Amino acid sequence: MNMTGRYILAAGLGLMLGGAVSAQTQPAAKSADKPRGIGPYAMTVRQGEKTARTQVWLLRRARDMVWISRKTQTGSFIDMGMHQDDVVNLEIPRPSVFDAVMQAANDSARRAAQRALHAVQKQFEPYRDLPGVIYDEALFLEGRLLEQLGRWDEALKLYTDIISQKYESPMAASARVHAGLCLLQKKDFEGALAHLDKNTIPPDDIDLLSEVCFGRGTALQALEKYDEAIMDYLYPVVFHPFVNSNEVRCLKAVVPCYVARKDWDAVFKTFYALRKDYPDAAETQETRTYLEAYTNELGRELDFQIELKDEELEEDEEEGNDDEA
Amino acid sequence: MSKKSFLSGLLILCILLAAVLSNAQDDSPNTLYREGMGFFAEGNFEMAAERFSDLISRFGNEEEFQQAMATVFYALGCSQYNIGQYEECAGTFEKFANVYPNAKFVDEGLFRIGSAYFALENYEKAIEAFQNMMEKMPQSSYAEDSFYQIGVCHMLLGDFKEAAESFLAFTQAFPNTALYSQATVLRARALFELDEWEQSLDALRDLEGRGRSFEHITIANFLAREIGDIAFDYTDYDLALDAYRRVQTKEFLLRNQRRLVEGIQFNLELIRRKRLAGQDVEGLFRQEQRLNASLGEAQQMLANLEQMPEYDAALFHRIGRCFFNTDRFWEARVAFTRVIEIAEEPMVREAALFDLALVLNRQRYFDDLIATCTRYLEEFEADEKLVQNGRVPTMAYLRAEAYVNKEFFEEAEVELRDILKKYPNHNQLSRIEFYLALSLAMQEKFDEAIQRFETWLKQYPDDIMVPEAEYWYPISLYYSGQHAKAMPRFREYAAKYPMSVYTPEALYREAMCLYSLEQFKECAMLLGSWMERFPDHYFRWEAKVTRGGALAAIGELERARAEYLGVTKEAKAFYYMALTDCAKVFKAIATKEAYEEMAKVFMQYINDEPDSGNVIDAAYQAGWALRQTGETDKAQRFYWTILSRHGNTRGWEGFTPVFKDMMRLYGPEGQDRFRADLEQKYSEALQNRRLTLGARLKMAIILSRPPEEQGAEIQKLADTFTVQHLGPEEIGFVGQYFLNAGQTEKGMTYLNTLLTEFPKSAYVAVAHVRMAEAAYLAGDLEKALEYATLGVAEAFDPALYIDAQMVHSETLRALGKYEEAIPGYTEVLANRMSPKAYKPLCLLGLGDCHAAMDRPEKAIAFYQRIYVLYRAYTDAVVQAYLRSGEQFEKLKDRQAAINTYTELINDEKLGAVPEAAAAKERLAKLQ
Repeated sequence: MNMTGRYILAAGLGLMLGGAVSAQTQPAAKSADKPRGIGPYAMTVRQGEKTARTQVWLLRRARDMVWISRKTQTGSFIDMGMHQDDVVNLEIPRPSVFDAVMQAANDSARRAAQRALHAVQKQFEPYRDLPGVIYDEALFLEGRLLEQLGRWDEALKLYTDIISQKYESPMAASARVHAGLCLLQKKDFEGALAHLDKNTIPPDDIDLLSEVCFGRGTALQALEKYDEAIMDYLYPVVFHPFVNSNEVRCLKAVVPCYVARKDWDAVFKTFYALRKDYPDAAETQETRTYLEAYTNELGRELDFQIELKDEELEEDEEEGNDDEA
Repeated sequence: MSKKSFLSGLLILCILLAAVLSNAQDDSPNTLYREGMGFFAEGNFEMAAERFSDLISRFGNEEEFQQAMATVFYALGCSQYNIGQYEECAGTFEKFANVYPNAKFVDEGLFRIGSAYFALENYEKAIEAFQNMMEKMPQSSYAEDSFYQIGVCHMLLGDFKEAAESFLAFTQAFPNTALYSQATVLRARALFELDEWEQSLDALRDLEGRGRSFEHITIANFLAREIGDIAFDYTDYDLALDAYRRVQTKEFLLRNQRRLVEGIQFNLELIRRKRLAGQDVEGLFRQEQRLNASLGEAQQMLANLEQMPEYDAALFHRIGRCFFNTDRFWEARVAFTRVIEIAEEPMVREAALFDLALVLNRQRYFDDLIATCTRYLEEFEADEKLVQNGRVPTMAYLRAEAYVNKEFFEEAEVELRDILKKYPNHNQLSRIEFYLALSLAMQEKFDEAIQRFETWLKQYPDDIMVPEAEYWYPISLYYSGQHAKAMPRFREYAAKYPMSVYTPEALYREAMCLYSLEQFKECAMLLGSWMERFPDHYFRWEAKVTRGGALAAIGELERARAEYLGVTKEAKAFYYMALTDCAKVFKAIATKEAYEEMAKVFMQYINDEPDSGNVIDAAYQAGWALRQTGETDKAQRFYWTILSRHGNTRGWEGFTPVFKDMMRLYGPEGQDRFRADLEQKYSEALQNRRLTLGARLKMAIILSRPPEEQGAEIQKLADTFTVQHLGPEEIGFVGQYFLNAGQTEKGMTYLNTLLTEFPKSAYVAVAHVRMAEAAYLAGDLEKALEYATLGVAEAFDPALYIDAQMVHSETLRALGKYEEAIPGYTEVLANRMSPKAYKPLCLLGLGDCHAAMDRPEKAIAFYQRIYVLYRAYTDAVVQAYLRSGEQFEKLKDRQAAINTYTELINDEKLGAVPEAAAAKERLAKLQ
């Protein structure tokens, strides 16, 4: 059912949206020469089976009603209320601070970005549940800023706020992952694992998926669940190695798990892969340093691998001889 | 290249021409021009071309029209192009370029010559034309497209080397061109066609670095996959991995491709609108040409992609294979696991499950391997094709082998038998049969294992597993007690496979066989050389103990002593075993020095292993040895110190022998002093709340009293100390007392506590035997049998063992299991340590068993032994006479029965017992 029919309090929506909606019975709102509220933003609204798009200014929120200001055909502006369910989308330009957040290189830049984000949040908080409203993104970005500052608890609070909303926030998947990463920093590994779920990540968000896998690997490693940690660390290596330096960082991360399992064969091959494909990477050097404590074990493994190679060569030679014969 | 119509916006250009030709009549140049333009605007390029051709042929050489004629040529060329008269079009634009080299659209004309030849699929001439265009007008915006088209023409000609070079030169010349991605992808394709896969992949990498256009993601993906496939086929797995892992998922590609098609269609629509509005004619032509080419390609690719089943699963499976083939098993495992998750086609899942099983097998993750094989078999076991091609049997074999590796031999046996039944021609038949024999041996089913090993060795004399079988066969013989048969096979094994990992153990087992066969000298010699050869072997300590035993057996006591004492604390359990065995040697040497050394080594043990449960026994051994040396004070002090230090340790046992030895140390005259000391220590223990020690001292006090006083004191002990403060010895002691006193329930409670709290206690066997006796007396034969069976297995103390056998046989007899009861009775009867009272009972039991099994002669023989040998046991003798008589009756030997009953009645002592009445009754009937 079209809720607008019940809730429109101001005349003129039909007019506003090209006469598509029949005349309203409610008293006409007071018109003005200038728009009020914040905007203008393009708003798509539901009209029966169809939708229509128009320019509006956001005035206020009263429970499930959204109050807007819009221009009539006569050029004057009227205020009107509509039910939240009839708002299909709001197109709000992305504030420049959003892009600045991740580039903020120092604390003062971060503080400035945070202030700007607070301003955005203040402006849009009443409308946060409307599709297209950027409040949750501002909240999420503030969380990311706080993460950069190592303020995990505060960041976690913001992410939890997003996750716990009744509406389906477009930021929910990212917020859940970053909440998991904050819990990881707080060494709440079980909690982190509950948040870091590969299946909730949009399929083309490889960056986020990579973070989930790496975070899960870290948590599982800390919980000494090495086999599972290995599987998570290696997921990006196997499927998305060239995104986010996944291969080099995950191969480095997985080595201590192999060591814990005394899987020297895997340690050997992983280090070999690092040296071959990433000879100059810091991760390769760090792995080399880490493995210095296991020289004996690796030495034995190396002997074994050489032995194995020799055997293979011998077999090959034998096969070759047979062929010749 | 598109052949569709384009560029109808010539109207603007022709305004000038209209002015020049303004005075024309019907067939005048003006008319022809206006008509031509009208047709052109309508899209009737055929008529337009006719008018423009007519205009050129009639007025083309007129001096006054020369300037305007350039545009007519251009319009004619465009019309011809639009109606597919490409050859004419090329001629028109060639003439146009020759005659009007400085005309405004001459660059486009030159480009269209190439495009016309391109459309005619005359790529050589197209290349010439595009090159000509570039040379003549290098600054024109068409130079870029011409350059690009040259590469495309080379591709279409199959000149991949030239194509690759051309595209590379193009991207170097126009690094910011919108065609960069397209050119690079095509260069990668050309390199691929030249078998330059590495360089081809480099080109794709270069594209990634620059940020691929939307348009080329799918093409690049397909190419990366092709590179991966061919590298995989050529076993270049590193390159294959590099290529495959650049390929996106189908979902991603589909979304991208749909967006791309929609985007191209939208842009074409925009161009159409702009063209109608007459905007930017030149630019639109180029854009439209590019977009039309792209749209067809994109749509085709989308269709291809949509029709590809299991695109991702197949890709991930290949990735997994690459990792597997480079021995990176963990990565392979990740890949195959994902394939199993996403595969929709059963056969794709089958392949992934199969390969995952191979990975897990290599990783020796046997639990996961079993689970994977089980999943595989549940889904595919019935697939006849997979059975025929050996994949199902392979999975079944891997699972069975995993059970063997897990040492789940029971499950392995079931699996292996099943495989032999279902797949009698399995390609791993020799291994399956070997594993089956091994699994049986490991379950101690030695008879079948030995038989299977023997058959196996005959059946597969050249198999790679022969050394394994030749080792496990004598091992099975050895553990089944066939030491004589096992011994030479161990020796042969060691000679045949001197470098085998099993050789040291084979030689060791050979020595153990010699020991069992009581060839002690040979055993000692072999173990001596063995220890020299394998000084660090895991069995070295056990070998020293055994060698000590062998030397002792041949009377080499000093050498035995030295061997035993060579076992150090490093040997853990064997340390104490060596000392206890050595104690026998010390006792055999029986010199003061020997006892002094004995005391010393046991005290050293207490120092070395102060937390060992053997401490109390070691203290007893040391104290006993001190007593032999005559150092009674020292021994007493030592015992009291040990008791004070360890007496409150509840879990430990062995205190009773200590107290008994202390009693001996105090001597007959010192017993009061001993009791007084015990009382004092007891009182101190209670004061210090050392209640376990208190209970132990209390028990010692009780045992120091006459038997008739003990009962009440034990009751007091039980009242004073809760069971939580009693050690295993005291619990067993109190429990046995209550059972003997007829307080069965109370006694059972104590003994059950012993079993629960101290399941490893030496008194567990005592508990089981006593509980069996109680259950037997109570008529609970099932329980009695359960406890008695445990008692027989656990009892080390000979007296207890005899008790256990006795109750076990009695219970079996009472349960009607006569044949099973006989060996136990026979053993008790034959044992010199058996209490004499047991012997008539055994004979009675044996007689009863045979009687019950309808063997009266045998029964009578046992009964008669009672009244011949054990006349002191009146009850048994009476029963023996009666049952003997009964058996004679059964044999219809009336006289023998009469004699038997008469003998009983006439016996002065026996004739008076009540049972004699029964004999009289029988006798009366017989007479």
